[in-house]
Amino acid sequence: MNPNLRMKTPLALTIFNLLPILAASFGPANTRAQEKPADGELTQDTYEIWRDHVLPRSWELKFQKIEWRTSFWEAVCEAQEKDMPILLWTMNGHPLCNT
Amino acid sequence: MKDRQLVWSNKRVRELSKNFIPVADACDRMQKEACKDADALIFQKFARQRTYKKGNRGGAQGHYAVTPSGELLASSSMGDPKVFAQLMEEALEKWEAMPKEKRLLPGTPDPAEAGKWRKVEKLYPEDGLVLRHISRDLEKARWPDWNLDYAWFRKEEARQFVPPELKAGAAHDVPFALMERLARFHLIDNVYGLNYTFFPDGSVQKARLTVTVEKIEGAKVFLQLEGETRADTEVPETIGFAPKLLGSATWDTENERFTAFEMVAVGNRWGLGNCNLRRDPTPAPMGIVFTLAGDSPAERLPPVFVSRYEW
Repeated sequence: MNPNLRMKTPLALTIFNLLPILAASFGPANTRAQEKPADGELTQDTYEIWRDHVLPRSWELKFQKIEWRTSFWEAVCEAQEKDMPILLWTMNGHPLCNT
Repeated sequence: MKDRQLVWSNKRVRELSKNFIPVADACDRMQKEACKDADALIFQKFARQRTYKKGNRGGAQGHYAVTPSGELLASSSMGDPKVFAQLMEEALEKWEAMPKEKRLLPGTPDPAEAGKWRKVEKLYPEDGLVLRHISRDLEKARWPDWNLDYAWFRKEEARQFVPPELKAGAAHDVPFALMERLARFHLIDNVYGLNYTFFPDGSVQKARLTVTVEKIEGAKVFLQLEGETRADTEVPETIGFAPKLLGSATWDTENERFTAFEMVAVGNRWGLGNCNLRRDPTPAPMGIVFTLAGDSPAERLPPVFVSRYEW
């Protein structure tokens, strides 16, 4: 373990890590501020605004660029065959679905 | 959910992941000591161990670099990509230094073994309708503020979304039983995390979706969707959701399947839930968008409550 890893505080790390996301949220590429619905009314006029508000932005889906296998056993079998290490992301509920 | 944006969206982490077999899986079953499934026996060798101990979250949740034999190389549950990238590099060094007979299983694991525990996956409706469900609040209480799930319909159920009479202006209501299932298990609040609370039987007061044929072009039937649902319960939790529904879909009469489907549900939700990290029970607008799912392995993952479908 690199001892430097232990020197940063979780708060500092959190702020540091959020910087690109905050930048993406307020930058010109993200128009959520303009698209945000005015209220909870769903009509033909607000349909697209609501849809676009709910659907994830491209930067929110970057995690899907990894070639995830969807079951640990599948990964064990493949890693054994290819003699490779496994990188496991595990949560209560499937991390790629509803967690 | 933060991991999606913080850890796995990081360019360095994504680059390093190419040196591994990357996998995402739920730990609910595997972490139970009583579980003796083949994958669980390997998982239990390293579960809950952390080589980086800050930011520990509950149970066995987290990120692990391991060998096929279950030897732990590195682990963390911290949502910091720089820390994790460094752990991945350390894991690769350990992997290289580890003797092959230690890092691999003594025998060849059988992929078919998974059939013993991956049972609901077999229910995937190949020729039916699979919808991706995305949820988000109007007002963000905190970040990240969206989540997903899937909704499955068998072929004969998907057909029930289409009016029996295929001519412009024809309309019909989707059978209540189908809409009730949608309201109970899919029109629920998972914005900030998996919600183990669904609406119990009898808690759906309203579940109407009127489907109208807008026009027909060859084998394509263009449909308009409009409706509303209302579900609320006080047992096991006080929760409710009363959305309006709007959308459109295209039904292919030749192949008898939807080639397009988009439906938006918007309305007030209230109450908390179970484990979904909702902290304010006050009624507030929430939106859910259903779209056609693709065919990738991740998009074939089963809906959380598929075992309640009574299939």
